[in-house]
Amino acid sequence: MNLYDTNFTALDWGIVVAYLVISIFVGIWANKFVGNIAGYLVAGRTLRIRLALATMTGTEIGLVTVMYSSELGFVQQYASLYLALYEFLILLFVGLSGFVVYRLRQTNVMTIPEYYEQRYSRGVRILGAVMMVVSGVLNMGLFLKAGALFLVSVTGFTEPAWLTDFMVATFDYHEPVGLKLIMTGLLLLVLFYTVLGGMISVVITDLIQFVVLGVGMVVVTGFVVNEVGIDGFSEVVTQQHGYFDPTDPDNPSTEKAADGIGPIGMTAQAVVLFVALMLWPAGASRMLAVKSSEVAQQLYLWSTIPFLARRALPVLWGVGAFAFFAINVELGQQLQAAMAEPGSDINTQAAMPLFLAKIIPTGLLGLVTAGMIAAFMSTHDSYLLCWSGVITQDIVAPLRKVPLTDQQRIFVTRIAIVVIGFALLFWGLWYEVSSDLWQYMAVTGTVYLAGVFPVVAGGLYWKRSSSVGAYLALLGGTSGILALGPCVESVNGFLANVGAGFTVNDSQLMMSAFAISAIGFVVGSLTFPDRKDVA
Amino acid sequence: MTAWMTLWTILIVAGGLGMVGLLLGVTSGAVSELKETLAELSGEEAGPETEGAAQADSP
Repeated sequence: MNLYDTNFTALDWGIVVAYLVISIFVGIWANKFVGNIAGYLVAGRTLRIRLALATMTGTEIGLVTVMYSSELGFVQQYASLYLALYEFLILLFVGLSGFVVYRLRQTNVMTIPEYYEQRYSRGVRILGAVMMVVSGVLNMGLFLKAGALFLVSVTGFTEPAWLTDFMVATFDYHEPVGLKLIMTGLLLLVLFYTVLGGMISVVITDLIQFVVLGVGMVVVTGFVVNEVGIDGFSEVVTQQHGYFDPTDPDNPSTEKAADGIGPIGMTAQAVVLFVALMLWPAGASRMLAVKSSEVAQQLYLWSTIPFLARRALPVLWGVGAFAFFAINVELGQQLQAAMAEPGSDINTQAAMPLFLAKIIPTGLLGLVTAGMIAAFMSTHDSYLLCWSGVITQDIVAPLRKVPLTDQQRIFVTRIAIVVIGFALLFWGLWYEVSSDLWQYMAVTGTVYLAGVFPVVAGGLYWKRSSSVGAYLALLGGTSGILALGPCVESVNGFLANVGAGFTVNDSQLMMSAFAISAIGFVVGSLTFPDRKDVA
Repeated sequence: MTAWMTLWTILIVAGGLGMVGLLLGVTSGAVSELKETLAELSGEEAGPETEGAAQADSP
């Protein structure tokens, strides 16, 4: 058997194309419900609990989620499930207590930066919005690549010879372009219906995608368990030195030393997830679109279920891929060789789709792929709408002396969607990720999350919170950039040059960013109170 | 089986069963709520043209 052998046939392509065509028509149809900016950005705040839960699930179970979770399952096996446990416990806490989300929904804002102006000042709103967009676009930067890698791996796509010849003859371009073309195609598809329909088309397509994706996840899990077997999953630990204790800083399934999670990694992820689950803008925008504060709180409580599924099931697929490539030694060697090849697009993310391509039968594989494309689109559309809405509402509109009309706001939002889309394409083509995909997302998210938590939670619960404190907290988040792979190397190079005698890792730098923001917020608020507090 | 593996097994089983339960319990209700949402949006008069209008719609 060859590494790229797949059960994906013309029938599966037909299923996928039919699904995509339906999605496009929904986008066009939903356009007729767009009346004003509230309708475009938060669906007129009409969402009730079941619809909100279905669309939140559609948004939060993205293909990128499936890819990074299964990659963690493949690389860190069962130990990576500590993230599923964290998400479950944090959402349970927020859902039961209403911490932050209840009061935030009571403020009736449409975006988090809008709250910054309501509580602090217009300047805080604009700075907060800029930080949010920078962090968000960086965070989305690898979505396209992950989606395209899934499609290439599962379909066994190989670049036709005429295309390679054309690129060499016309542009003197010698690298593979198949993955890049698929990335571009996926982007154009999402841009098309998000630009047209806004949140209403996102809600409708998310509902369809929730069903397709949910069924797809259950079906895939059934095939994975059937293929590997209960004994196979046990042997991952008993015979293949699988990693199952996340407190151990060494991953026993690899030869490298101290490449596991450990207490520091676990603490950093707990902090990131705690803030992200409450205040990550795409999820928060769904919370702000529900009918009331009570529904917002219920939404978080019920989200414990899909959030558990979005982590646990793909991790199981990744563990299944680990077991499959360990048992099929020849395939495992081919995979290692493909990953080691210079300039290769194949990495640890590809293990899961390559595995699924061999165990799921023709026809069903098309449905599963449609489900995964659904997952890709439902996240991408929500994220695009969220960041572009922030640009319009919280950067462009506050900077204008004359208020924008609703139609102008919708127009600016649509332009922003397209601009962000192409920025993502450029970043996805250019940036080579040096860590696993989840770590990249946690680090880029930190740039925003480190600042937003003290500013929002402090604003809601601490009377002495001030604008200066908010500025310092938001700016402190920029130190999170230092946790990106190339920056960590630079920091350690600097430490070696000054003879510091120690090195730092990305988890420590992430936690530093949270600490800097929190300290900046408290010190700034106490030292420079807002005038209304002084009076 | 260690305590860790017991915990991970519980999480995986709960995730799988939870997804099935969610699909069965939410889908039909969500479809009828979507119809109500679209009906509300269709019946909505064109409001004032700034974000204040959006806030006026909220409870």
